[in-house]
Amino acid sequence: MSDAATRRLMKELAQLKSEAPEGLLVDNTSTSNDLKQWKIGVVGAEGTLYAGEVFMLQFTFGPQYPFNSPEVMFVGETIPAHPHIYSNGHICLSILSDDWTPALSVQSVCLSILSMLSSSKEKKHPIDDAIYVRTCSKNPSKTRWWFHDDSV
Amino acid sequence: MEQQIQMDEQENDESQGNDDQQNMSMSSSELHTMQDDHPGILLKTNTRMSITVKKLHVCGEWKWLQGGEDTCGICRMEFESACNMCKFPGDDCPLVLGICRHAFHRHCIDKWIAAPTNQPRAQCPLCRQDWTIVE
Repeated sequence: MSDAATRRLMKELAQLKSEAPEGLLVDNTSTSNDLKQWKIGVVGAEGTLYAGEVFMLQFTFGPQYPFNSPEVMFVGETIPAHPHIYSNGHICLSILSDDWTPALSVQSVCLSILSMLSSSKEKKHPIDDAIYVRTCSKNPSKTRWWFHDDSV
Repeated sequence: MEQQIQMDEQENDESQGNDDQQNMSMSSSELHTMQDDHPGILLKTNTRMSITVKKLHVCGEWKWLQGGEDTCGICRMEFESACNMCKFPGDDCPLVLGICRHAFHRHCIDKWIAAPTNQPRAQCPLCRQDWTIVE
């Protein structure tokens, strides 16, 4: 972890703890001591398919953060069934790869994913889930994503 | 006749006011070199109070012309602080403004522009318009 990355992550953590937006769960156990890995709880919004369900998002930061995107995936017992979320927790979302900018943050990524859940019309994994999960790298940022549907 | 007298009084007042100001400005240069054991400087006032200035504490503040009351969207530090990678703020860690009117620390935006994925053209991290600096 570089000093610059650590300093920015400390700022983000302080802000998230002091004013966490609705639907995000952050506490003192959310981050590893070196801030390299964070686990943030996301709560499905009222009136959506995932209302009240709690999922865990895992962030892993490299030394070049925020110039490189963090690796973000769902972990834990329940992985949300969603047309852009594979059953191994990998998420197909452009801002996590090609469309990443250093102005994005843990908070904005969490809110984007929460909004992605909210707009889902069907609780099911992507059509290529079985083959992807069998063949993909452990690290979702190694995946060359093909963004086929922007409506969800 | 009465009017004339009033006029005179006003003129007197004004000239006295000017005296006070001159007195103050002269004193301030004296205060500059004031040591701890200095007896202080007696201010000339229009009240019956006798005011002695023993110590002055001078504060200054600087701001960049660009940026406004905000933080750098890349490192999240205040614009008047140094960027994440610098120790000292100021001329060695300046701001730049894009044609989209978004400002960043020069070091932050330069690092973003230099990323291999941003060649040949980089976009503003905040609005994704093509990044061009306003000179």
